[in-house]
Amino acid sequence: MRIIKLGLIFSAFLISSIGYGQEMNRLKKSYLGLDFITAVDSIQKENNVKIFFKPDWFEGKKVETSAAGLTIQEFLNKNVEKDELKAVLYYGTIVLVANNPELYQVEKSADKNLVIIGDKSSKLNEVVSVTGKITDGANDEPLIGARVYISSLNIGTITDFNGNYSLSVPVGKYVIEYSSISYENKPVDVVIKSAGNHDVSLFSGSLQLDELVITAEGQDANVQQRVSGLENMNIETIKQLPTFMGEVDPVKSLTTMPGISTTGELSSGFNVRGGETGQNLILQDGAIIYNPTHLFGFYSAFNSDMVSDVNLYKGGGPANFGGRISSVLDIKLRHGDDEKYKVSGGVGLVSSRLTAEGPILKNKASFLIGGRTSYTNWLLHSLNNIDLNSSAAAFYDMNAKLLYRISDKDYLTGSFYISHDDFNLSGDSQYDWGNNNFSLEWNHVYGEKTLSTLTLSSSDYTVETSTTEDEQEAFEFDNGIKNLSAKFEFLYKMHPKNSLTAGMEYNKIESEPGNLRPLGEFSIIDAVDINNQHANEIAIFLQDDWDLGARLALSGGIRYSMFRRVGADKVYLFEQGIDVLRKPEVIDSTFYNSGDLIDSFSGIEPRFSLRYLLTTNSSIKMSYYRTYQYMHLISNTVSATPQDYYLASGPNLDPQYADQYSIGYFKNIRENQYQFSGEFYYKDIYNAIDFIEGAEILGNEELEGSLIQGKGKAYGLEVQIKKNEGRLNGWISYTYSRSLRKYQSDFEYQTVNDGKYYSSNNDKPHDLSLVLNYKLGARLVLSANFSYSTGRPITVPISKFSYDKTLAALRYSDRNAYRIPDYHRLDLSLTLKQGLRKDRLLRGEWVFSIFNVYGRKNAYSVYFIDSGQARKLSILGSMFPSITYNFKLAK
Amino acid sequence: MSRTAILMMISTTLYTGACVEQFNFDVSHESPLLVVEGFVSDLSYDDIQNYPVDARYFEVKLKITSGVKNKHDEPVAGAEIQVIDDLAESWEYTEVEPGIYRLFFEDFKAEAGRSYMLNLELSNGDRYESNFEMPPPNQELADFFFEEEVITGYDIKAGEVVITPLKGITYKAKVADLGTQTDFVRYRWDFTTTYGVIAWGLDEDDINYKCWITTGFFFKNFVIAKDLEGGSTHDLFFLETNDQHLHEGFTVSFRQTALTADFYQFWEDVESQEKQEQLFAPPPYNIVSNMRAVGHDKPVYGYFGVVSEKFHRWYFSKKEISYYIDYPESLQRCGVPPAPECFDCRLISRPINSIITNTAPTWWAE
Repeated sequence: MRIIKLGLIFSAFLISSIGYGQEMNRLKKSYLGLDFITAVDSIQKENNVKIFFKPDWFEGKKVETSAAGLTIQEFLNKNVEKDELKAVLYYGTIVLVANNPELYQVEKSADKNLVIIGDKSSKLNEVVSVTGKITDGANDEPLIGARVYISSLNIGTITDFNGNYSLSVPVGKYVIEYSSISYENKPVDVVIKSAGNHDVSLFSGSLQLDELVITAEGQDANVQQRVSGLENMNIETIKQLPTFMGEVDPVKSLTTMPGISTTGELSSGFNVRGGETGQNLILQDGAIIYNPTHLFGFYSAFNSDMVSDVNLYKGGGPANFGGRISSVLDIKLRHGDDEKYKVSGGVGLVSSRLTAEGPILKNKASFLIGGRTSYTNWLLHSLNNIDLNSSAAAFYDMNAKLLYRISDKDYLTGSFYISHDDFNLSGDSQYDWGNNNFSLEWNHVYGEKTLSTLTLSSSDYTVETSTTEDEQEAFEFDNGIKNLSAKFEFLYKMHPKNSLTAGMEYNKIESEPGNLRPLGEFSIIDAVDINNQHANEIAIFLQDDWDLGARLALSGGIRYSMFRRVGADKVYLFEQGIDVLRKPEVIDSTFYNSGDLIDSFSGIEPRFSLRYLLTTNSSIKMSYYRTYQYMHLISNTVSATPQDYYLASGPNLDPQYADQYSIGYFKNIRENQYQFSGEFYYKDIYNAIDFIEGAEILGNEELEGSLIQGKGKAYGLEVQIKKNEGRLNGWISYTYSRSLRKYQSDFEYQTVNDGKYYSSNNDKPHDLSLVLNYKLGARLVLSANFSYSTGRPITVPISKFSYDKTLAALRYSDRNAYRIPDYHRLDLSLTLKQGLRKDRLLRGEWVFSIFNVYGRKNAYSVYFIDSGQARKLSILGSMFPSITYNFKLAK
Repeated sequence: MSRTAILMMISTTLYTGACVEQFNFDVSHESPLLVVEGFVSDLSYDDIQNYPVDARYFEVKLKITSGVKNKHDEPVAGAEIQVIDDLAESWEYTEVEPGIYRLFFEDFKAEAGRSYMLNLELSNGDRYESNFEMPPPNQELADFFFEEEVITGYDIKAGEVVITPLKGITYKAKVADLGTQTDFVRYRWDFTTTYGVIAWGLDEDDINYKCWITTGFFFKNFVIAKDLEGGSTHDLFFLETNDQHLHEGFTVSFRQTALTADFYQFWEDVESQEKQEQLFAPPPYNIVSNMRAVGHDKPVYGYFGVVSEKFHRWYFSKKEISYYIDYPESLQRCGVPPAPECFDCRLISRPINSIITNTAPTWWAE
């Protein structure tokens, strides 16, 4: 061992070849005050010995101890002792070596991941200060309360408001673990030579991706991560996926991950593990987004230039999330740069976007503001088609985010979002919908172990519809939902390996199921103003993230939710029993005054996720989630539409709740270059909602009588293989899953398909995604995305009959007994970045995309003409090339 | 606005290549089922002679469902059918051709305040019956009128479809005042069109010089509406005034029926099925039936209705139009060489399921 150490030193030292045979000779001169290197040279010459040393170590050093009367070795040791060096005999020579040679060994080792802190050696066991900053790798935002821990010393600390940490530690070699809640652990091998600085970026979730490749940063997170069922995508990775018309869609990108799908091409929303679109909680900076798309699903509601992180919890997620039974999509907008002004944007064929950011008070307050708009009407008006000629379609949205650092311990962020869609069909049908969201977040750091977050948010989603196509049936219809929320979370780092989060959440909800009004003097539509529904949802939660040992980690929590539906409202009592022919009639009603309690529900929602490391690069994970949902999305179509609305649980509608179980195996090989994961899940859904036959959704104040509740179950196997590094990287995801429903009753009108399990609307057993990125050069990346899925279920006419002058009255199959054709598509994109010089004022990139390369005519929908014959509508039935120019302007 | 049009619009907006293709589901393993079609009304064979329409006996048609292709329903012959009232009095149907059964009673009609049901037994012994239903009170005829309008439509010029204004009339029905009602009155209007055609190669006194074509498919099948107080107005159809069928006489017979709530629901279901192409159409479902199996559980479709009805006939007259309508010269000439229909009006092309005759209907007014 020593030989190796010396060898390492030899390679860098001045070497002399004369042996040291008279080591026992005493020196006669003192050399005091002389330059140390000069003195050593003299001793070599005068005593015919060779002394190996590194001159750099002794630049400017003077001889402090007289050599007179000392042996050479004694002289050297007395003069270099302070430098943690010593002189040793080595085959007839004298070599000056470090007292703590391990430092020098590791410094020269081949371990490229080793980090050296400090630039010169301190004394052995000297306690030095290691400082640094921990940031979110996705956006360079400082992470507050992140943990820094050295397990061999059992010491640690957490970061302050600015993400900074300071750790006092003896010099030596250690493994420092950096971690933060919702971020992967990042163990770093370090050699601390002296006081120094080391900054770290952490990435949330199981994927850490930089602009071009999946990086080596924390690539074992999929193995190490405590939470099961978390999918995370960095916005840069999302931007790299091939797009439709150059428009980046964070939500759609997630569907390349296992267990996440959509009901069809360009459909609104997404489905997670057999759940419905309305069973996903979508948050943008803590405020609920009720409609995540523009133009019926053609565009995402999220501005990719402003998004920093996209986290999707398949299941309930940690206990601090609640209210939906399928998933939580937590989207965070980034903060504006607080040092420089920057402008970025993109110009496309039918839409453009622009984002600006910069300091308001340098290093104190910043802003980020961005918007998008479409410009399509000129196209419509130039077409030779009556309907299109007199139509209009447009949208805009705007985000703004302000950051204010009140002090080192406090900071505030405000996030605003407004959007509007304007859709006019043939001049006689108008659809307008919009979001109006606001959230305010206050973070406060109490000390090294505690911090709190208070989030106040509001969401206001409104839809206005009108149609004058038929004067007698002309109507206006408004619906929407408002939500006011307050959430307080308290994070306590009990121990570096145990973090406790506790808090409470309050939601005040007002849903407007619909206000139907006749439009024009000839309309015979009956005005129906369905009472707005009011509800309060309160939840308290406790979450513990705990490393129980070197192998076992637990992320456990419990949430207790309470729901109160209150007046003013009128609640109907419906007939039941064998006399109901098609739908139950109202037999009584009760009116509740404002604030009167109509009904209340509560539920305990235990959640835990367990990880056991089998080896350093493989683990198994298990999880169980129970989730409650009290607000229910009512949609009469497979894909969400603006006319969908929410109904509150009450006397006629029980809360939905679900139990989800999962077990998975995660394995990385070749130093995390390849990742494999396989996860099985099973989910029971209680009080799942469907319609009785012939239910009228629009403007029906008695709709609750047309809803049925039953059982749902979903199960599946999710497999993913990923290559993280290299010129060619990417992943393949495959999911086999089923999503079934069952409605059985003593009464025919409440029974579907004879009370047997049948496919839900989003039951698609096979789902495959393949994403590949190939780095052609420093500025050029070729990406491909292939997806395949089983066609979704559909109810089809199986025969027809004529009746009077109606030539084809249709007889339909059992509900969802058939399937539309399977879906598959290949997209390609080529991203060309402009010069790599960092000092460019304008930095841009061209994105050339080809959507649907081989022109597959996938079914957007299958509908039926009067005779019952099926027609497959392909919206994107051919290859679509597009070009987008994205730019950033910064000094 | 159909779902197709909406989505085409979006996709066109975005330069996409939307397309629609026929698609066939394999439903060959599905079994055909019995369909019952028929009604009785408060107008007997004798009563209806008083109206300017063709007389008719009440009929019931039995058939089995057919595949969703251009295929006629297969008739079900050999059944025994009777209509029974709530006093257990019954009237037997007679099979006049396969699957068509006629009630040969000149004075039979659904009496106000009485309920009727249909009872039938197939040749294989399967029995079916309908619910008892009572004819709704007969209602005053609506006020029928038209208004001149110009709408936007399509035309073909130089082989290309172009957008063009269309001049014509919109025919409407204004429901009579209903006074004070506690329940809706449910209406259904359907239309039978008759128009004259000329064989220009013959003399006017030739028996085959002029024919009359009668069709129920010239306009939309039917219009349904419900009203509580009366006075509501409903568009029935649009007729283009340069339509070539107008020039040798054009008349429309309006049948106004008052429906029970369940029968109205049936027609509403039929109508909603036709709107399945709508973007926000509800999930499809099967049309309600008032028929049920007796002694077995085979599903049955169709409806046996009990209604009240009235008739109204309208003749188109150029004089009632505010602008001049030219007689197209092209209609007055035979081609070269002349086609066979130039010498026999009965050969003139006509709509599917229409009737042509060279004898003027008894109610025809020139």
